[in-house]
Amino acid sequence: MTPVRKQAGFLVTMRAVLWSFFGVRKRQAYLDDAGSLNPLAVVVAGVLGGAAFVIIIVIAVQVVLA
Amino acid sequence: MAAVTPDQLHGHHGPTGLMRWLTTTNHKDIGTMYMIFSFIMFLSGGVLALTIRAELFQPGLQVVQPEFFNQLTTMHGLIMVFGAIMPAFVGFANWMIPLMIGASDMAFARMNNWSFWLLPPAAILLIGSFFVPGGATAAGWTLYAPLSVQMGMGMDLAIFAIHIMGISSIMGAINIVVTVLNMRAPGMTLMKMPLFCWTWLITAYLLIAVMPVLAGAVTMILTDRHFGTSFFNAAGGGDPVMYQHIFWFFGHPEVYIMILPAFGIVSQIIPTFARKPLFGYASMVYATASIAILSFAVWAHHMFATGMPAAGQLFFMYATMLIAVPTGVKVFNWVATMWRGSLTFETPMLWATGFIFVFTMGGFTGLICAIAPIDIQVQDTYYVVAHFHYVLVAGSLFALFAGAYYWLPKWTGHMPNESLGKLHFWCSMVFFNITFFPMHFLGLAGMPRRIPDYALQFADFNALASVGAFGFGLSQLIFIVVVVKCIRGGERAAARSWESAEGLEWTVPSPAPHHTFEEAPVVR
Repeated sequence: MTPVRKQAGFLVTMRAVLWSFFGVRKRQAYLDDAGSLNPLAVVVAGVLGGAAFVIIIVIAVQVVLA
Repeated sequence: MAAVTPDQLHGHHGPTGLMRWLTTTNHKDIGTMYMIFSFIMFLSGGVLALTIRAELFQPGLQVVQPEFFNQLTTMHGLIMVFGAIMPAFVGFANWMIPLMIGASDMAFARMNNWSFWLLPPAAILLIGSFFVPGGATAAGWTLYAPLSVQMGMGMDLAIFAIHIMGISSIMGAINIVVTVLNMRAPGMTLMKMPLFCWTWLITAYLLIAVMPVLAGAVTMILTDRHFGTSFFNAAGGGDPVMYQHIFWFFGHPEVYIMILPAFGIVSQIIPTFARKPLFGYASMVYATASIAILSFAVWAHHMFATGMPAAGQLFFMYATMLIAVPTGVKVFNWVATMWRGSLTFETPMLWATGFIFVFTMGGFTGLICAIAPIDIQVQDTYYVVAHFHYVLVAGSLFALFAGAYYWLPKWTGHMPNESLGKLHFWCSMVFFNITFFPMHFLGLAGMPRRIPDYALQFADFNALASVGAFGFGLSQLIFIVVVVKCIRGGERAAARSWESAEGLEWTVPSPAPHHTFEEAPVVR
């Protein structure tokens, strides 16, 4: 019998993407990600993460310039 | 299962002679052609570089006229980026990705043939542009408007060459993405895939994303030149700075296109000669993805001196400094892989460790250039020339040599000559630093780049750099000797040519037969 793959939720996907921005991930967490993440959700989370990255830097810049 | 069935050992059954190479759809043949092509272009670009260094050996004009000097710097950059480094990595991808993932060939074998055969016409257009009225384009490899709008017909040839090479790159990238995603052997999950395949998968996405942007930029130049548009012509309501934004939106990811596969090669070699698995494989994958994403948000750090609001300068400065984090993670992981490993320094490992040493220096000078107030001082000086040669020569090129020495036994069936390989490495390492390290001092002292003559106070370091450059150029001839010797004979290579090498490519005989993995292996 094939084991049923548990689909990762939004928060789990976002967490994996945010770790990728740092570039560090524990092997077990990576294995869990690889087993459960939906590639389409990862792309959406990546775009959201990229937008969040830009917004955070923009806020930091505004704070510095204020 | 056996990786190779007996009839496969008899080679191919298609046309022979020149027609074999013209019509081949075999990934190994095409990979070989890519690498030979890129090496020829490397030597061509190298000759241009040596002419530049001959002129700069002394102050004053001795060898070439200023107009031709500008053509040399421009064409050196274009040939090395689009003709040498990029096709060389595609050659590695062609040869190694199917072998590493257990595929019988690339997904679109005929498109693969076309991807390669587009390159020689593009190279002829590019190099042939030296011989048209007005000579080759002299706008710098970045082809900034308005210079590029004003050049002679050499510029048009360069634009068409870039179009053709761009199409070739996009087709190559599509082939790699489809091959990696769809043709992996049973059991070869993404998380088991060799890091070289991971880095190339991500690079291929970068290529698909940014090559059309470059094509758009040069097409706008073309229509500005010949069809009455004014995209970049201020007199017609256009904006030359817009060109820089569009170009660097391509250009910065392009930097990573030229370095991520190098990271992949080094990540294959270091575990083999440290006799340990790669430290932090998962982190390496995530860091590569991170670098790729962030590379789209940093382009204007190439334009600090162009003029932009303080908020823009700070944004691109912060974003650029943050991209150093995942890159640092990679360097840390390579060092950690070597830590307490049973290290031996055969030629591929020498190149890989040399890569880490000198590439890291280039990375650090990149961080220095990322600081906007410093960049405004060193913009367009030899400091920038030193920085990007540390990244692209000591980074991309050293990794290419590391990979070539590592996989030559698989390609030719013979081990490369260790003494000559080591001589090649040490000569390259020493002469590279003699050439480019003094350029940091020249840049900090204010010597501008792309200038054929210079003030007397820059003379000593320039003479030193020129001596180093000729030494470096001549050292590359050793590589030709090694490869020719390797093809003609030498110590027979075993299937697993290096003691601790891991991966499917080492399960097939050396040299790899013409057809491999016709029946997919099962990875456990």
